[in-house]
Amino acid sequence: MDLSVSLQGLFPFVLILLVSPFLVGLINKQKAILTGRIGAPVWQPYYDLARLSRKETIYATSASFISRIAPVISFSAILFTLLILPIGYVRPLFSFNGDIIVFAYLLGLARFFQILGAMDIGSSFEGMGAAREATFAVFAEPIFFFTLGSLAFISGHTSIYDIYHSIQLDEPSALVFIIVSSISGFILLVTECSRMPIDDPNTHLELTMIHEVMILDNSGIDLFLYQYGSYIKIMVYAVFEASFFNPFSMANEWLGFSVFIVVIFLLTTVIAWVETMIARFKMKSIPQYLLFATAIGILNLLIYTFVR
Amino acid sequence: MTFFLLADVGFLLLALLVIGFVRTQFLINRLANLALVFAMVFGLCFTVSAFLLPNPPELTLFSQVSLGNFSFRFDKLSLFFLGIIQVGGIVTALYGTGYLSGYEKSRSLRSTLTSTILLFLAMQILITANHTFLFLVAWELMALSGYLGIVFEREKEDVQQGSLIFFAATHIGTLFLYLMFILLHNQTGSWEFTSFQNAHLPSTLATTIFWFGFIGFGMKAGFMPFHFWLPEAHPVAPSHISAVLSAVMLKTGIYGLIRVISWNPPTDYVIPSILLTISVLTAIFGIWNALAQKDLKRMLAYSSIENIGIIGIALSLMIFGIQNDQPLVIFLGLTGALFHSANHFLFKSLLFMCAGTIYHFYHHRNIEKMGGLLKSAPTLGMIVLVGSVAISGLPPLNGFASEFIIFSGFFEASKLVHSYFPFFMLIGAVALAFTGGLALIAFSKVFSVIFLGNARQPVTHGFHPDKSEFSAFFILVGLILISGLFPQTIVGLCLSVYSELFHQAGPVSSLTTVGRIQNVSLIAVSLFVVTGILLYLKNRFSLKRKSRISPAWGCGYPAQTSRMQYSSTSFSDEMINIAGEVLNVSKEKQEPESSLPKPGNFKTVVSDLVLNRLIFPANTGLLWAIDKFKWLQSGKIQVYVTFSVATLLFYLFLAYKI
Repeated sequence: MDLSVSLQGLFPFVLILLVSPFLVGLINKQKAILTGRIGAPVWQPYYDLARLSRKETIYATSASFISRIAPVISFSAILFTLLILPIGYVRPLFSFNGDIIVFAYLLGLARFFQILGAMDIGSSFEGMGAAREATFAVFAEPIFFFTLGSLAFISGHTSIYDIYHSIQLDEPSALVFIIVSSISGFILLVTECSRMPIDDPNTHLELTMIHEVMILDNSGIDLFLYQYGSYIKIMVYAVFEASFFNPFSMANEWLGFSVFIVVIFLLTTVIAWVETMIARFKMKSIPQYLLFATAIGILNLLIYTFVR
Repeated sequence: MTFFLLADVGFLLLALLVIGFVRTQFLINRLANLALVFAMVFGLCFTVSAFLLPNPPELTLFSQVSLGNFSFRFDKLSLFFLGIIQVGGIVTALYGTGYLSGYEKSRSLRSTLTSTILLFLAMQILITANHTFLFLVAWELMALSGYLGIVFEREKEDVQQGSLIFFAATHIGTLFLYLMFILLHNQTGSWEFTSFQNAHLPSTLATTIFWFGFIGFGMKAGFMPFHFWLPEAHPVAPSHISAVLSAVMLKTGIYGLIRVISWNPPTDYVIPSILLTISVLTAIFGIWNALAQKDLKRMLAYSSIENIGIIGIALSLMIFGIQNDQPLVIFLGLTGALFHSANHFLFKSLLFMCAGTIYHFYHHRNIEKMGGLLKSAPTLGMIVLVGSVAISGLPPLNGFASEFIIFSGFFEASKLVHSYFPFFMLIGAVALAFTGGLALIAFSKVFSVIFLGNARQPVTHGFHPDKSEFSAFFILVGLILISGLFPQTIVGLCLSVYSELFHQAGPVSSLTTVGRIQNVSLIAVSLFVVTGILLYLKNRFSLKRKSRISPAWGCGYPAQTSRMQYSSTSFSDEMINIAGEVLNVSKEKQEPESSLPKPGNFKTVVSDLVLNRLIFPANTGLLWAIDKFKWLQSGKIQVYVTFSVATLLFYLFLAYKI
């Protein structure tokens, strides 16, 4: 691998690191507008992160060294998913056959240590969050594999970069595929990033939360890592979603790039709109909702197998 | 090389002599286990040097005109599993010394040590045997010594039941092996394994032989629905025996399956699909049950079932490859099975042994009553953490590497073979991912409930780590790290196993096979390094300056007790409810009622579906049916003689007719 290619691979990495808090700021701002408030500035997440990094870190008396290492491990696992993720036509730093599996399992590693970090406190609130996170994540896994996996199976590519580039606009099934994948991709984003209607990022009642309650006892630099990690994760899934529209960049590079930006912006709008309009689902009905998304993923495969 | 082999057997015999003639328990325990370590180290030397030879060495014990050569054949497949057994022997002996030292004063160690030695002797023989009789004798010896190992604490009721179920199950399995070998003998006229190869069997016969082999070996390996003996037998055995049974002995079943497939690959197109379905069900059923268990060792036994399922998935991929002439798919399937067998051996023996150490600390196996152990045993906690991450199949450890190989196999298979295939392969891949997700819950739960939070019950005695126990742990953790961070080493070994076993299928280039895992290694190593750097930075620049310790946030409720923590059952409650009837969970609830309430209670019992809904009822039915023939048992000698004569006459008649 020569230097210029590696540098190109670093481009999405740095870009996402820098832009991801902005994306969350954008969602929050739109939510504020939709509810008739002025809201915090778009840059608020950056201020929050800066504040957290300066704050003192408090550990619970019951916490062990797991609390100290868990945020770091889960953050670095999320960082590594970035190294596999392509943006448009830029080949990421690591791109090889089967990186799609590494991608899914790195997120699993991040989740594993978040669960341990939550359980380390010994408080029933964190335990509840951890149990819910673990349960819902199991049902999110098939969605990922049916959505991206079906494409991998049909196209014969197993690297995310190649998979996205095998979508051809001139095929009749492609458009249907893009729509169906976007739907299941959106549900995946909502689940993995703990947004509405799975989880309410704004609630302050511990009993109703999933992700937020897991990090209830984290502060300072640890909370910084968790928050920043969750911002990056939203960005990762947004890019993931926007990449389904890659075929447009076949025709024209600038068209492709603008489609990419527009899709991500639209996505923030949809998230904000959903969070304003819909209440969180009952905990019991969440697995059903996720199984529905899995069914959509299977539909995807059927389309591709039989239309082609 | 012969010297190594002789030293291996010699030290095993020496160990038996020590058990027979040394008086003090203290010395027996130390010397016998030491001899086992030496035997296994020499054996490992042999295995390594034999692996480097181009052609498999053979060793003939004696020849007999009608039965053929009683010989051993050390081909690379045998040597791979032989290596697993020998490393298993070393850690078992090291750990066993420490584990048994607590029992030196209270009970005789002779039987359990004899069983360990015989178990390793038997397993080494059967893995390398090239003759049916040698194989079956060793197979029986393994079953018997396994039984002897389980009944260590024979006065306990659950030990009696568990060992009996093991005994029954293993013999049913052996019965099918007899049938399989007789069919093979009828077809080839020989009892030697090498002549079973490419016997040009008719398709139906090949299918029958495969299924007999599958039931026989699958019973040992623990495929559903033959898994029922594992969760009964493994928890009740002493921990080092559980580790051997679960981590090493199950692999003899896998070895047998690979052998049977490599002799005469089944040509029936339905077989791989059925095997895939069984394996997927095994994996999901195993891990879902593991999720619901409160008994630590029972949970680990169920997790073994899951891992056997994963290995079975890889095997079905291998048969898919053979039937479609795809060398790369065969290779990935075989490597997935071998690599995962080795990995499962590493983390499962580690976890079972840690379970033994934890058991000696608490004197019970119920994880609901543990908690906060990390503070008193941080090293043990780190070791279990490594084992848990590895067994959940998460990068950067070895469980991920082998699952990655299996996933790659699915992708390759769907790429190379068309028609309905992708659908099948995708379902397999999704099932594997789903299993991984469940394993993540199961092991994050087990680790957190035992080690994190606060102690749920006050513990009076301190934690006394034993040096020999920890030396076994460190060997296993080291191997887990090596095979996780540098999986290309193991994949390289698997490549040479493949080249020898399936040389007729065509070569695969090492670039596409070993090369694909090198990227995983790259990511694993860099993940390690980056995490280390981040941890250092965090400590250096943030924690050193500003951090303090304060009570946990209790939402304004100051009187939280350790019993309010999320327990094992509450953690997995939702997943258990989703599983519904499949888990066979019964909940008994007695709420406090009336104005003067009595104390209420709540109890969840998870019992095995197959054992309690199928085997036990069938057994009751069988006993009822047999009971109907009681009148035959008159107790009069004349009647019995009449029976014998009648039977003999019947056989005579049969012989005459034929």
